[in-house]
Amino acid sequence: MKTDKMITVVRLVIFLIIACVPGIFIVTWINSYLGAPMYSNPAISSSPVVGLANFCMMLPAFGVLVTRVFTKQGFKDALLEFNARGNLKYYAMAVLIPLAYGTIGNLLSNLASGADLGKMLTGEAFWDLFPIALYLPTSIIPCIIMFFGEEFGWRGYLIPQLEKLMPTPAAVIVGGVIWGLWHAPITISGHNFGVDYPGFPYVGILLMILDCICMGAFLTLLTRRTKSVWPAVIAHGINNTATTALLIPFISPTYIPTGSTTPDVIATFLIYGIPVAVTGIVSFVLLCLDWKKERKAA
Amino acid sequence: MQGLLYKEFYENRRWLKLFAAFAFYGFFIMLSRIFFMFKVNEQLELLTAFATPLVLMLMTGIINTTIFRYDEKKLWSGFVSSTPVAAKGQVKSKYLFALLLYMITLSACFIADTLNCALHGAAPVFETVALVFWVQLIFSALEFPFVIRFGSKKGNNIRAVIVIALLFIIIVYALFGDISIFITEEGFYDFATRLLKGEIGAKEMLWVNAVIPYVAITLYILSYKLSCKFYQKGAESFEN
Repeated sequence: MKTDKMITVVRLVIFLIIACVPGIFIVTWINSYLGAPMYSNPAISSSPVVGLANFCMMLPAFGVLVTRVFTKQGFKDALLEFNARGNLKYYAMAVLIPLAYGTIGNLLSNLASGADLGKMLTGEAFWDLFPIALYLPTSIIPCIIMFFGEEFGWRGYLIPQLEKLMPTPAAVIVGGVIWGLWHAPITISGHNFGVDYPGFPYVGILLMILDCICMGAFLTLLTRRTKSVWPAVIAHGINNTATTALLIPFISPTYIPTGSTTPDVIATFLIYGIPVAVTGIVSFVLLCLDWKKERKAA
Repeated sequence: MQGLLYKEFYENRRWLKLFAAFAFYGFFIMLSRIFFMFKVNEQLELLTAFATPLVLMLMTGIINTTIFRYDEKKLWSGFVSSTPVAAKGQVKSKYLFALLLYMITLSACFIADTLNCALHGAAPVFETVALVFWVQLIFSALEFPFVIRFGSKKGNNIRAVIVIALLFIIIVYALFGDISIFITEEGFYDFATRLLKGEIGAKEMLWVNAVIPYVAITLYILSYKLSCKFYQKGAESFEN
């Protein structure tokens, strides 16, 4: 028992070193090449060199490969099967729930910016914007390797290994904290929040950790219920690329009245995060119930 | 079904090794400036950055035209039909293998394009690569049921007929249709570059990029269902 736990800890250490450390060097190199944090302003973040940061998303999968091969763990429990039969509702949830919380979150943050709801939803440019709405959900397919790279590492390996050391609810929280800290190099580089907010970068890192715990709970629920990483891959992809898809065709270009005050970036993130938090809490409760059932059955 | 998928990778291992070798060669040339601190000839770098996605897509297309040939045997079709996965599993493994290969190529092209944009400041061409991916998927969706029903020789002939028909339509349009948008002072290369960058035809291309994934996915699924129905009939014409 003790030996098994020690082996799991060693595997986790190897995985985390490979998943986290190279990313620090990659992001540092990009920032020094650009001469400024890569997301500090639009002119710098539009540089194609920033695209290299996307390769950090493949590091968790690389960490899993190396850890499983060198510690002779094998790939039997790698959660790579699709297991779609009987689990189509989870695949549908993987697409629809991120679209739903993204739409609600964007609506709320636009309203907080003083947007006129009636004007906002007139859809003046509906047919011009409709193809973008159609395109966004499928745009994850060409770059799915990036999202697979993350989910194969976090939900496919980190959470199951943490579950060997602690109860599932604790594993989800610890996993979320690790995932949030993994984002720290790019958060410090201005991702999501910029570099000008009060409490930079600690507030940004904390918010990222909270966001990762909530999203992590939802993605872990999908993975555990389907015994497959693929719904989490899809949900992560939709979350990163297509959360505004449903709203886009309806947004009138003139929805924000002139002279309105836009809340600061932290406030906007918190408002957007309300539906994400609700999703995370519901998922967390369901995970706790599943874990209790498994304990009773065992 | 997993075993059948492994079999596909095993049967095509030589092609896949060539594919991997070419992809690694391409990335090595593109990354040599950063990781290995030596500067390869700049023209070779640019040529490699352009050629890598093109060759990988061509290779995938070639591999996917041969995946049915080695299983066109009565003994094999009889055996696989008697297994728990049955003919449906056999057909599914072919479709999944083809799709996986396209996805791997697409991912490699995505990486190559990101490197090319970052290292050489080139314009991104990934949208065009993605479009080619969907078009290849549509071609496979149209071709595979014919190959399964009539055998790979006849199936490839039918694919050739479809391609010739498309070329014929294009030639007829070029001869008699409205080609005023193609007649410009700038020349074809500049026109193509501006088309790729989205400076012309952006609205039409947006609709194409938006709709084609749904068309391709729907056709691929329908093609799979049709192929499952055709498999037994097609197996009757196999040799021993």
